[in-house]
Amino acid sequence: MGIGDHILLGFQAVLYGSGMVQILGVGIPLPVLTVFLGLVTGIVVGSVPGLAGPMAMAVALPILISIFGYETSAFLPVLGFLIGIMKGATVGGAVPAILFNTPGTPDALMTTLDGYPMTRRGKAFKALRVAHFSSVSGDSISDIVLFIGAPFLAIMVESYLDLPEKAALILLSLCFIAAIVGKPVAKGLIAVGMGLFAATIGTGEDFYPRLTGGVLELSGGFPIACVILGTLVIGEVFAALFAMRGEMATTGKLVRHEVTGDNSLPLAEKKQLLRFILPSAFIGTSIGALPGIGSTLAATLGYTAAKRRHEARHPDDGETKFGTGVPQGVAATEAANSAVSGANLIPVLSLGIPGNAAAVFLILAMDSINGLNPSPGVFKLPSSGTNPEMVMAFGLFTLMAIANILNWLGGLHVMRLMGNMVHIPKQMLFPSVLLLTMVGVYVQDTSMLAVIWLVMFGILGFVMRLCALPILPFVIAFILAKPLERTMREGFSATGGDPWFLFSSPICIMLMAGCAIVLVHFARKTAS
Amino acid sequence: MSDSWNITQHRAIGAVICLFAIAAMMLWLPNDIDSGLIEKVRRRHQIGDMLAPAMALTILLLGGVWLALSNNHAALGTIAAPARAILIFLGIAGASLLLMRFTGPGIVWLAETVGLVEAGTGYRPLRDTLPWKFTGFLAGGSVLIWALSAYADQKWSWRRLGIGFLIALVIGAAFDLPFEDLILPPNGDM
Repeated sequence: MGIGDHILLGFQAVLYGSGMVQILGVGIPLPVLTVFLGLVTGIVVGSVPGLAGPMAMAVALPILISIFGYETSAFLPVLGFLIGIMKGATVGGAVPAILFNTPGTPDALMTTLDGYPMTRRGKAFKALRVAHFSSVSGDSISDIVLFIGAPFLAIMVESYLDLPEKAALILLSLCFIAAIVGKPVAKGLIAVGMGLFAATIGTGEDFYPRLTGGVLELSGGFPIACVILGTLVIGEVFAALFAMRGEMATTGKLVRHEVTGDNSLPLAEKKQLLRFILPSAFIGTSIGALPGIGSTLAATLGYTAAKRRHEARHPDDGETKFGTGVPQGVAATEAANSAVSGANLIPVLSLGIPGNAAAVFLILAMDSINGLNPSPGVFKLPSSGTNPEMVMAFGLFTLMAIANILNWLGGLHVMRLMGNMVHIPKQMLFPSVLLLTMVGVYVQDTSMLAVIWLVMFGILGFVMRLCALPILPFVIAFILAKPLERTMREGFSATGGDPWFLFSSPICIMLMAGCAIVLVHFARKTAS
Repeated sequence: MSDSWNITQHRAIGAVICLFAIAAMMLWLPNDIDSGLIEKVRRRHQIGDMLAPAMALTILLLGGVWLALSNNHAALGTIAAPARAILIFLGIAGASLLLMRFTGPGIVWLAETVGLVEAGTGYRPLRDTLPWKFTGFLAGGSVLIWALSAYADQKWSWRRLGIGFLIALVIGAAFDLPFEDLILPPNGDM
């Protein structure tokens, strides 16, 4: 069967593979319903300042697994919900940024620069319309690149990379993440080292599980969900509570601005905005495809590039100056940060390497549920019959396309409804997230030990934040430690025990040289 | 004293990381792993269990040395407030989890004493029945939300505890009512 047949089967898997739900007498495929619910959840979460998509994905994953189970039929409904959250949160982050000058997610920070001045001028709804239109446009463009790019990259990797090259590629990815996220690079390296070391405890191939000190509770290693949720979510909760305690004296009051005048966004204006949306979407897509960079930088670069271009063309135009409340500023930012979400799945699906926190949870879900083990083999055409993993991958693409269509159709209405979410007191919100995450972990492992590990890794995440050690390289290194060790063992054996197996081919040498170049380049850049 | 001898933030973090990496390499790894870096099994060389942690610690050491030698001169600052916060977080989480674990059995014991429950029943047979299954979770969850929120804004009040109870109730109900198979903490351990 060819690629076309697999695409068709993926589409059918979404429609018929996981059952139907009857709503008002109409049968709706379960994955489509979960995408819709995830999208609404994502917009709600994104609208609450302090919460972000990965946090909601973390809480939702154990619940989804409890509802749908671990079987292949659970794959698309669970992943559909998580993809919905990922996309919804990016759009939702613009709501408080525009209405209250408070970015719902870090990548919506630049949206405040023009979005909030528009609100003060009575153009809040127009700003929301611009944010929605730009965000969904950027996301759609990014998804198209994903649909084409991921299979192409995977086929290239599978054709040209053997075991030593794959090990070198994982090392290069870790160096890249350490260099990009670590400020300075040394901190990124420390985080990677910590993640790799934590993953070695209680694992290995010997009869005795290594580094456990005879402690029975460590003999299975640290549960992956506790490590990821602890450092990413609970660590953030502790850090937010600690910061709140310090900032209580300086809390301000929210000011309401009435909506006045024409707030529509006519087609002609949408066409004009496309001149800003398309370059920003390209920037966001390029950045999203690289592991570890993230949507905040994409938003900053998208905004800055659009501002420079606009000022070069209209040097004396004070009325449409960026930062004074122009729709173009909102469009450039939102298109760039939303374009990251599709492209960051390229390294996930083609290489099994997560590029950002949201991708970490998608990998965690794929790891927990049967159906797809992300690696270059996902897009390998079999000599006969079908590749079920490729079918699932095209099912995922279908879900992403459905999420975009739903976002186009109804995302704006949900965004407008969410204006009041900003009033939820954070001091109650964050402890609630902590309790919710504890329950989520418990229902998955049914052990208080898992909750204790969660709190412990939460403290580790808090300490790392205090020391300004980046969390993402730690988490990604923890996830990649197992495939790295396995690939190195197999690569070493396959080359007949060659100690220089990581330099055994020109591609290997290039990838290993890339590690050194990336680290030195970014270290110099940070120093300068 | 010259600037090169001041304890900066980066030097302190780098030193701690280096000390940990060296101590683990010298003491932990050799005593807690059965195989070496490279092993010969059935006349074939293969990677032993020690290589991965040794590699991770080498990266840690490299990062630690690099950080300690960096040119950032930001002062170390006080560590008293963060240390106190860590102790408070651990204390609140620990107390809440203990409450969660022992409130259910404690209330059942009291109910047995006053004759509401047949003597000798214990918590285990009741752990999946209302209202017993919620007792531990609600006690621990309410205190967790109440104490952490009060830590953040310094407002300790009974009303806040009530809100914490309501939030815990909503979370417990959201997990327990729609899903028969899900077990709230700590009932799976009892």
